[in-house]
Amino acid sequence: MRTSGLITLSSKETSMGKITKKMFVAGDTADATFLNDPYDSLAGDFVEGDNTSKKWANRDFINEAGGRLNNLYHDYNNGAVAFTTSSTTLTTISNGGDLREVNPNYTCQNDVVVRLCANGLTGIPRVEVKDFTGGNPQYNQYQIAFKITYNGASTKIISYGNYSWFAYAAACDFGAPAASPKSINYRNFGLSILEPFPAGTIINKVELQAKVGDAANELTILRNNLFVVIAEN
Amino acid sequence: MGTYTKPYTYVNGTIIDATGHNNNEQSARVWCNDEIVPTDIKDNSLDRTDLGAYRYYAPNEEFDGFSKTIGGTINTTTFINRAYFTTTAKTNRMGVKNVRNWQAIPNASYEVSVDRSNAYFFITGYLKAHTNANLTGIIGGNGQHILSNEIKLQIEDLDAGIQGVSDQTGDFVFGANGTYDPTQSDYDAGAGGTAASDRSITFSYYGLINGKGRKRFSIVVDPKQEIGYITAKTFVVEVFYI
Repeated sequence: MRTSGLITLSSKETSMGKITKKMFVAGDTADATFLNDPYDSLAGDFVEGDNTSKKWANRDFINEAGGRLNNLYHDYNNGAVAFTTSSTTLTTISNGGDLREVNPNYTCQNDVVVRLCANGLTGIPRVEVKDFTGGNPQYNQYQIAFKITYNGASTKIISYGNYSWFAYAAACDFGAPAASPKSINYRNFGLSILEPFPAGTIINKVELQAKVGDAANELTILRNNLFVVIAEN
Repeated sequence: MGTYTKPYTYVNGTIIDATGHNNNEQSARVWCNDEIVPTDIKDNSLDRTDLGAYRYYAPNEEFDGFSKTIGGTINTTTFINRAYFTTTAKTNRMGVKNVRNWQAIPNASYEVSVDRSNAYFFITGYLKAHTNANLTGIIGGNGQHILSNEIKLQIEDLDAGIQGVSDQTGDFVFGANGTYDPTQSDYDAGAGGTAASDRSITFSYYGLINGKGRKRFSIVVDPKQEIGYITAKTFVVEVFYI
């Protein structure tokens, strides 16, 4: 025989909510507090951690036609038409007019983390100035970076990757060019970074850019790709 | 769903109103069976383990989480010591121009099983590649020219028996010394000395791979150099289902 008492239904395996409910038996007084309890607790509860069993949610619960947790963007060119630049300001990589960019135009629903990754292969460069002094990057380097355009006109340049033209560290002064080694050809470059943005931000565009330290040098880029994940928190 | 408001309040000493009581029962029933909206869910109520059946393999420091999960990751951060590749051709072209002889690097591959047809793969890796000096000829000077060992990511559909290499991932390591044949238009390492024979390589691959089942991703090399080896520092395969 059941005895009367106040039962809290809180087992996460058997119930979603923590609803208080007095189990009445014959002879009990229907006290107003006990009568009100189920409805009052119903009004105050959330779905929270101890309401959910492990693995209770999986992909079957998600409407994949709706908003996504991970938004993926990718851009690739095989480098059959090489990109060359002697610009000392960052220029968007373009293979035969095909710009290395993605255009999410995505409005962040929550605080997001934008993950950027780029990878590529250089060709044979032209290296005339080998002196390291000055320049940004230094004269004997080239640079790859991401440019993010957000909220229409705001921009952010991040994840600078500097590479030397030849097989010595950046801070080397070889003096006369004739004494310098030859360039490193067919070299691999790679960038990766996380950048947070607040809810409501519109992420318009991400570009992969490059520049050289001295306009007498020329960078050649062959195959390259750009990959962006906008991850909702 | 949102906020629940109790329609009727019970008071001691007052006869329960039948309509009010029915309204309470009915409103509770509707509220509990209605849709859950974000305001009904407390912050941080879902743990990662709620979403993915991730498994951890301690010996290899690997994770996976594929079946029914939102996404999956498989990776290694333990480097693989000196997986060797070799060729016995000892020539600059492996005998015939444009012939490829892709060799998989031992231990530098992953097999992934996907349970949905449209899965996006993102694969990144960081390798250290080295080639020894070729013994068939030594000409130093300006560049080491044509002894290029091309390294790529190989993608296999094990169920369909389809195999290919990704153009998104082509990289090179060059022989330290080699025979220069100016009649061949091949890759020129450029730098003098031995620098071109030791290279750090990063690659990234992105693609939509259709079809459920097993896929295998491997680092492969087309060697034109006599002996070399690759050390895989990191190799990460990520699967996005959405």
